[in-house]
Amino acid sequence: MRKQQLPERGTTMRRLEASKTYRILESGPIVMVCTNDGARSNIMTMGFHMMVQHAPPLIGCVVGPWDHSFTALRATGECVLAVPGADLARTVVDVGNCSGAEVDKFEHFGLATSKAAKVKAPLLSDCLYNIECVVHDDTLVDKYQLFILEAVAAWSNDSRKERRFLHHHGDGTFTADGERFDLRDRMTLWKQFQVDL
Amino acid sequence: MDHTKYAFIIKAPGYRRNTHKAHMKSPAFDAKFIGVEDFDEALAAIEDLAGAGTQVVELCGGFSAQEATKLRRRFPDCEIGRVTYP
Repeated sequence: MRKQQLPERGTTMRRLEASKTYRILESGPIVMVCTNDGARSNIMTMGFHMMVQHAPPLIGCVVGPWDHSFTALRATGECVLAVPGADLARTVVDVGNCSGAEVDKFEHFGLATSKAAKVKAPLLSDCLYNIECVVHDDTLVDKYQLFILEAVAAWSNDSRKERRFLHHHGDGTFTADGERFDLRDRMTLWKQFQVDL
Repeated sequence: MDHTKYAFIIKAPGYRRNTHKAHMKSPAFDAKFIGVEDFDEALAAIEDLAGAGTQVVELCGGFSAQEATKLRRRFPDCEIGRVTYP
């Protein structure tokens, strides 16, 4: 597998309120999931997720026993959801097409990491956003592999020039964010949720 | 392996696991019913139950999904369920 070098290193993260997580995830970007089982960290690509609740901020996501990260997520109850920009598309696909059981993906793909504030899993420094999560409810894991995560901290990397999210259409096909429409003046019912990131 | 050692835990004000308990035993099945005051007492009760070989623990609807999740993570070798309503 080809080793890739990611651009724009040495950046700093800006802390966000975890309650703003919905502004990052509601549009359904592809995310990368970082875990740490106590011995080493791992990362996987994940597209099956959705916001579930504003307060506390809850996120539903599917991680199954077929994923090497499943065991660490189940055992530790912690992970980081990192949202890459469109410039990391190839890395996103390659990370999702190999197993942490066979390769140290951080080393193999040259992924820069930072220390998280509230969980042991690392942040991905080159992503646009990182959301630290703890497992809030695992009731539906056995039945649907559906974890309900609670966002406990969030970070923005404002130095990234590429700000477009990636959206997976299945089977390795993606689009990047297109034109954004600002219709906040028409949002009369939900003023309390009009927050800037 | 058949599940033959079972417990049900009820969380309610004033319950104490040392006094509010029942034991129903047959040659083929062993069921314990335990009342606890709060989550911490439930944790202590399940530690004892797991140590005694209890395979299945069901929590009453007074436990939150988050509490059940914490208990499942704490006792991975024990099947822990929770009563819910649609």
